Amino acid sequence: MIEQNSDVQLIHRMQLDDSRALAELYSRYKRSVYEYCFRLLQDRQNAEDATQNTFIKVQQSIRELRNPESFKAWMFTIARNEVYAHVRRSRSNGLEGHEDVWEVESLHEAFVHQEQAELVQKLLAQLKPEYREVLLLVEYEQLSYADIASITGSTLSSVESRIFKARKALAKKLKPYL
Amino acid sequence: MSCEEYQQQVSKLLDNALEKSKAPEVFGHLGGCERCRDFFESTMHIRLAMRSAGSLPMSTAMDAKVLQFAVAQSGGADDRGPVQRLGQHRSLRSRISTLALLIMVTLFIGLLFSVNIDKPSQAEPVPQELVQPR
Repeated sequence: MIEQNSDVQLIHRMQLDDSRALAELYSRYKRSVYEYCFRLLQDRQNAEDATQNTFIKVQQSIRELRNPESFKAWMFTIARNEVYAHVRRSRSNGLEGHEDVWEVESLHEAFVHQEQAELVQKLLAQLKPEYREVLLLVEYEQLSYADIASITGSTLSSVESRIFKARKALAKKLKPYL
Repeated sequence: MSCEEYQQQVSKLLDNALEKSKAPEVFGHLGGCERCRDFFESTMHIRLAMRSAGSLPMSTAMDAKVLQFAVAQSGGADDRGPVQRLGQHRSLRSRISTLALLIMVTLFIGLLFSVNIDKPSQAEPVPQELVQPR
């Protein structure tokens, strides 16, 4: 049975300019990174660009990674930076959150006949980015609060609070459909 | 503790972020509070819905760009792909290994011969008819 290389082994090989190691890491994580970027940007082309740039920057900066065990969190930090760089380029609004969690207020008409999973995805897409991103990282990537805080440049309590508020807001919207 | 605070604990509990010592109190509260139980169940529904969503469609166009960049960065100026270059390295490595093995075998044989030459000769005595009379 062929043993799969661990992330740490691949990172060491990448640091020695082994292009096959990047190919393997890319294959392992491209879907996670792409889906994270897409769910934040809600645009396929922009998500692909952000994903490409993420892995290019991973390759360029791999020697700066001192702790290979934290590769996943480091990679998602780069991905997040790519996403927000795009958002800054294309939007004039800042990303600072207000107390309100929703970007779009009125959703009811669009969701009457949706399946629950699709409904949740639609609602998720309507959350403000700072609430959506933490929920994506905890639910899809099962990252710890500490890792999420590191990726988003936030405090632990801020991450806890945003995840909780996002869940409360979604639960409230979903209540008529559950 | 208020229901709001208990619900915050529930949120952390679901993410394995709550101190283990606090879990029994949270479960105890859930047993007696319908509002907090609703929040717990809604959060589980949300989790299941998110995690059961199918994979998003993804094009393969970005694969070529990333892998080309990887090859260029690793100094691969030729047109061969990463797998071909790896094959070339493996072939060279096996040739070097074979050569090293040959050298070692040659040295070993040489050593054996030199040991035999140093031993005193124990050749059979020459037959009398071949020995010249003095």
